[in-house]
Amino acid sequence: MENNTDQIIEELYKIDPTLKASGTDLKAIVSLLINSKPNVLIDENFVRELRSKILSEAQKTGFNHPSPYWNWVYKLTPLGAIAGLILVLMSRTPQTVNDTAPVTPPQMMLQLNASESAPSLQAPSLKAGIPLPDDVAQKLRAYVAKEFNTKEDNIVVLAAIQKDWPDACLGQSVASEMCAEVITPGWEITVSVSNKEKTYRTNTDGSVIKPAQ
Amino acid sequence: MDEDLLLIKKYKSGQSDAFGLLYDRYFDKIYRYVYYKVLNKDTTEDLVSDIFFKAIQKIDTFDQTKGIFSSWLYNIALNSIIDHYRSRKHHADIEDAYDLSLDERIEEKIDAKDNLQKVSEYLNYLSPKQREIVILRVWQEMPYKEIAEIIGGSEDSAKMAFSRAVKEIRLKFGSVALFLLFMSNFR
Repeated sequence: MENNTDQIIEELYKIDPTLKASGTDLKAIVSLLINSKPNVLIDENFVRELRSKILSEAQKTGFNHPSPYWNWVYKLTPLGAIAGLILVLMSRTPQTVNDTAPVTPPQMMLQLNASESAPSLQAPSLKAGIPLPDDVAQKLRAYVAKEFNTKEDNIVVLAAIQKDWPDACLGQSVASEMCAEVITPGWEITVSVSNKEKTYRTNTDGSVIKPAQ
Repeated sequence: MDEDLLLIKKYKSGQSDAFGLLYDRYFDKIYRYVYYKVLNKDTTEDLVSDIFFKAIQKIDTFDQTKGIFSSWLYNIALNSIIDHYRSRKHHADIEDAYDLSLDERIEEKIDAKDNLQKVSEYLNYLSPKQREIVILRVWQEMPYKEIAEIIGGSEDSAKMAFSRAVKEIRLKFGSVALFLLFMSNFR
């Protein structure tokens, strides 16, 4: 907050240098304005319900002219939802030390459960207020573009979920690879590329990317 | 390409889920912006729903040569707030959108109400446009360029309006002692 106050004051000095004469008053005023920001409590249920309604509306609008590929995706999404449910149930069973499945935080489990009844493409992909950072999306797009020998513009992020991976290899180690056994926070990101859906795992800043196997 | 533009492009090409990602990117900002102006949870939820539905219906009117997507979305939000005030009054104008009317805050909790009253005491000395700039710059931490796109006018005029707002508050509340006293009583 102190930094924000200083930044605003610096801006004010640039706009009107005469304000420097009343620096102390100015700091008090700006601090007061910042402190008086109302507290906002957002109902997570409202966020999810509105998202679901918005996506239903988005599908009805004139821009929704899916390719035959997408028609198939929409037809198959109920099956995807069932598969997702099975995966959620399986993830609740005891895991061995070498299990490569991601460690899903309880909060994420709630999100997955909430999405079970909806087609997978409509499920809440991001926790409200924590969108996938642009630089991570950009790094992933560059990685996928190289893999598929296509332009980055042809790749769209369909869903991104924050996850904790069981090791530094994002739970995707191969036999010859040494992986530090530390919980590694990151993202599970699904993209559309060349009429295919591909899922990747990344760490927090996208500096490590691995295709999900 | 800008992430917003890419998502809009994908949405227009038939990938409706791309709009969901735009929603994820802007929900929090738009919700807070609306709340800061109406200071009531139920009204905010109604307006935010309305804003995102309008955004879907009007997405074809978004012209990237005229401004960025976030400014376009904030403009929808501002117009929705104006409509909200119009629906509650026979005679209303754009000034109403900037008003922090007390009657909508009575449902808030007592401690929050005290805080809101202090906010309004402070902001009510400003013109509607100045109040808007304070909300966008101080509470939403928005750059002046984007503020100018939302409220109209140039970046420089937005800066000048903010500077005048701060000066007016200073003139009204005068001495440093008063501010320190006010701050010690704050919260």
